[in-house]
This record gives sequence, structure tokens and C-alpha cells, in this order.
Amino acid sequence: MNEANDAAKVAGASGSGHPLRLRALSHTYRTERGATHAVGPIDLEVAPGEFLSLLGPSGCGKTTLLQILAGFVHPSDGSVMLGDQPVSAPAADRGVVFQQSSALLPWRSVRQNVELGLQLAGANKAARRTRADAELARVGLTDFADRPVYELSGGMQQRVQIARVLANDPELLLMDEPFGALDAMTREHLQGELRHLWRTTGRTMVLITHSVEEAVALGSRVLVMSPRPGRIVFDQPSPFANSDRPLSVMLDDPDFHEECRRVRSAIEH
Amino acid sequence: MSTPVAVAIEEDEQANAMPTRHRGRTFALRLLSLGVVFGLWWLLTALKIWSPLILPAPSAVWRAFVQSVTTDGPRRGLAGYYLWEHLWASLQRILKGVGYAIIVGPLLGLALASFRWVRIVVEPWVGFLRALPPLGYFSLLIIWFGIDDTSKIWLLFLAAFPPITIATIVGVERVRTDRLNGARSLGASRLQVIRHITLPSALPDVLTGIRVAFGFAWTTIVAAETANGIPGIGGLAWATKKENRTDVAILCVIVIGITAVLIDAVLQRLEHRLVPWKHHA
Ligand SMILES: Nc1ncnc2c1ncn2[C@@H]1O[C@H](COP(=O)(O)OP(=O)(O)OP(=O)(O)O)[C@@H](O)[C@H]1O
Ligand SMILES: [Mg+2]
Repeated sequence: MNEANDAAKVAGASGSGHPLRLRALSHTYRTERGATHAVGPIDLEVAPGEFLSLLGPSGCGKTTLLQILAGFVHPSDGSVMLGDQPVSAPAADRGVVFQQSSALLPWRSVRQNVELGLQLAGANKAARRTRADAELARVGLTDFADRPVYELSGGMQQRVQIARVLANDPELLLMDEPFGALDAMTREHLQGELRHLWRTTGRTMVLITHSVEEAVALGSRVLVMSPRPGRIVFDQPSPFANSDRPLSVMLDDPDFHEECRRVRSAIEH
Repeated sequence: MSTPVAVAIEEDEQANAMPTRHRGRTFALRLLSLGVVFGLWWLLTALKIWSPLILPAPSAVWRAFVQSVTTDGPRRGLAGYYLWEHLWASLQRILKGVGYAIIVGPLLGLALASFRWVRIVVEPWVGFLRALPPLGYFSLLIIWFGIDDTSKIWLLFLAAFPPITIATIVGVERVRTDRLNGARSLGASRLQVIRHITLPSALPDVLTGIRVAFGFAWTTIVAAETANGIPGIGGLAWATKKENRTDVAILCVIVIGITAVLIDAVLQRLEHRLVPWKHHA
């Protein structure tokens, strides 16, 4: 992130969004092989502009919860409201960043990928391009705008995913282990960028991760889910989201360590 | 995955995984094997083990080739047409038949993959048609559409569209859920998802299906030209048996084989052009 991106900041900054409300939310997968109660019941209220980090043991229903918020999965019980609108299907107000960049379209250039949402909404070429270029500048990919996505590294592809979601101006950004497949260095770099994005755009974000340090360093609020069926067993604000120190520096902070220890013990219980 | 189309798709993926450094050696070995076969052929005929009627010398086949592209008094090419006229007649038939299949095949495949009830009703028929050897129903087509080109083009169409349809279904079904969901959460409607995500994602498989269809149609047309197939390379090959023109028969085999290889090479080229991302999807 650098000064060149400040211009891009303006493009994405929109007013405050709506609160997200989960009421007695619960989901059971029903297949031929039987029923799996994956999550819930969960009651949760997320204020606009919060950065939620979501942790929990493998298979506890984190992805299921995120897919319900995105509208891909219809919950078997309870409800999700964004403001006064019930969430029942995917829509442009909730952007999703997937763990795998196969969600991108390999036949399109980087810029065309970022333009997709605007194109679907019928925006004209010039407007699309201006906006896409602003988002690409924001994630530092200006020089790669005309390249096919498959020529980019894994970390860059994840940035393309983030840019294409931001170009759509969603109220809510949903991310399922977006850095899970990346090496440690790239990962740390993107964590810094994500924090910067959160602060400059003021978007509500939900981040699923397996890394306690990532969750505590980035989230303004850390949630831990129980083993399946996942319920919220830990829900605390984290003071480190507003820090300017990179994660590697934070690792030396005893307060940070203490916080991570508390979160970790919540996962293990 | 055990249908011929699925196998073709998999083989294709393996073939492209071959490192380039092996390609040169592979090519050299193939050239060598070609040379050995030719040498053996020449040797066998030079030793005069069999009569030239069974195995004519390479030089005799060369003379047949010269005849096929020249005029000499009343003789014009072979069987009244030059070699390229025979070849072009066959190619035109295949282009028409497979051309219709390229229009119908993907549309039908998309419908089959998208609507459960269409699939329940139509898929068994596509499978049935694909399992039939085309020549098995050729006489039916001749009764319905006559002995001329119409029945041959129908034959090629019916032979070519099932592999394309089935490849399209495979392609549509393996589009990544993330990719579809991602587009929906960017605001795509159902139709927009099909147009912007499903169709382009399935394109590599559709093109593989088209290649399979061309290969299959080529073997079919050559055989189908046994009925009123002049001009036509298969018709020419068939006509040789009356006059015992073994040299022409061998010439035809060579031309038919080379054409098949060239068609596939052209289609592969086209594939690289159209879907350069194929192995990155
Ligand atoms: N489509 C599905 N059909 C049936 N069961 C499913 C489906 N998706 C998930 N499950 C089951 O629901 C439970 C929760 O899965 P989910 O993917 O939400 O867990 P997770 O917390 O994201 O795990 P991980 O951390 O490993 O990604 C698991 O037991 C899983 O087997
Ligand atoms: Mg998961």
C-alpha cells in the first residue's frame, strides 16, 4: 500500500452500512447418508464497520455459516437480516473472497475480472474501467491489469479476488480462509493490506481463519465456535485491529500473546 | 468417467502434461518408425515375395498418385476426378454434417445439464444413438433421404452430435461451484451465470468433444462413401476393388490417414487459440 492508493480510497468509501442480525440460526445438511447438524443455534449481531474474525476447530461449520451469510446455503432454521432485508440468496451487497482463486475467470484479464460485477450490473465501459483501475491500484496490481489471471502468483490472484469484490461496493465482505493456501511471507503481506483496506473502506468484514494470530491481529472482534454443531463460545473485542504494527512485530508484544492464549484456550474447550 | 469422450478429455490432459524436453525425442522416434516401415515395405516388394496385386511397390503407389492428379487422354485423375476433388468432396460432407452437430450438440448438452427433466427424457436417446455404429442405420437414412449427399450428411450429423453433447454435459458439470457462487454474489442472474460463467468454463471440454466428433465422423464418412461415394476419397478407395487397383487402395489409405491427422492437428491449434487457459482452469 502506498500514496498512489489514496485516490482509490475515495472511490470505495461509502457511508455506513446496515447491521447484520442472526436469529436462532441453525443448519442441518440432509443427504442420502443422513443428516448432519453443522451449525447453530447462533444469535449474533454485527454492527456496520466491524471486522469479525471467526475461528473454530475443523468441521465446526464455519464455511457453512459463511455460505449462509452469502446466500449460497439456505438455513434450515432461523434467519439472517442485513438491515431490514432478509438474506435469502446471493446478491451484490455481500461480496465473497474464496480460498481458491479458481473462482476467478481464466479467460479474462485481471482488469476484466475486476470489472465483472459492474458489467453484470450494466455499467458502461468507461465507468467500469475507471473503477476497476482504482481497485487494482488499491491492491497494488496496476501493472498487471492486462495480464491473464493465470499468469499471476497465488497471492496476486487473491488480491484480484479482493479487488473484484471491492469494485462491487458490497456492504459486507465475506472471506473464507483467503490466505490459507499462501506461503507465510505473502500471507503476512496480504494481512497488512487487508487491515489497511478495512480501515480505508470502513466495510464490515467477516474473516474465517485457522490462525489465532491472524484472527487476533486483524479482527476488531474475535469469535470462536464450538465443535460441530458450531455455536459461538467466545466473543470478545480485540484491540489490535487498530494497531499499525505488522503482525511479525506484534508477536513480540506480551499483551498480544496473552490475548492469543485466551482465544486458543477457548478453541480447545 | 469411462465414456470415450471422458477418456479423450483425460488423455488430452495427460498428453499436455508431457515435458517439452521429451517431445523432440518422441518426434525423432516416430520418424524412425516411419522410415523402418517404408524400408520394410520396399524390401518386401523388391524381394518379390508376393505378387504386386497383393503388395504393390512404393513406386507403383507413387505412379497411382501421379495419375490421380493428372489427365492423360480420356483419363481425368482417378474415377473421373482429381485426388483433391475426391478429398474435397469428403471434406465438404464432413464439414456440413459436423457443422450442424457443432450447432446442435452444445445447445442440447447445455439443456441436458441444466434441466433435470430434459435430461431424464432425452439422455437415454443420446446414449442409444451414440452406442449404435452409424453404418447400422445408414440404410434407413438412404431410404428416407435418398442415395445422394443428404443421407450422408444426416449420417455424419447423427454420428457427430452425441460426443459433443456428452462432452458439453461433462464440461458444464465440472464448473467449479466457487466460480458459479462468486458470480452470483457479484449480482449475476441465472442467465448471466450461464452466459458469463458456465459456457466459457465448459468451452475446453466442448472443443475436445468436437475433436472426438471430427475423428469419428471421418471414419464414418469414408465407410459411408461405399454407397454412391464418387467423388469422395472413401468412394475412390471402395471403387478400386472392382479393378484390383491395390496401388490406388494404398494411396487412399495413406491420404485418408494423413487427412485425419491433419484435421486433428488443425483442431488442436484452434483449441490453443480459443482456450489458452485450458490447463489453468
Ligand atoms: N454440502 C454438504 N453436505 C453435507 N454435509 C456437509 C456439506 N458441507 C459441509 N458439511 C458438513 O458440515 C459440517 C461443517 O462443515 P464446514 O465446511 O462448514 O466446516 P468448517 O468449519 O468450514 O471446516 P474447515 O475448518 O475444515 O473448513 C462438516 O461436518 C461437514 O462434513
Ligand atoms: Mg471451511
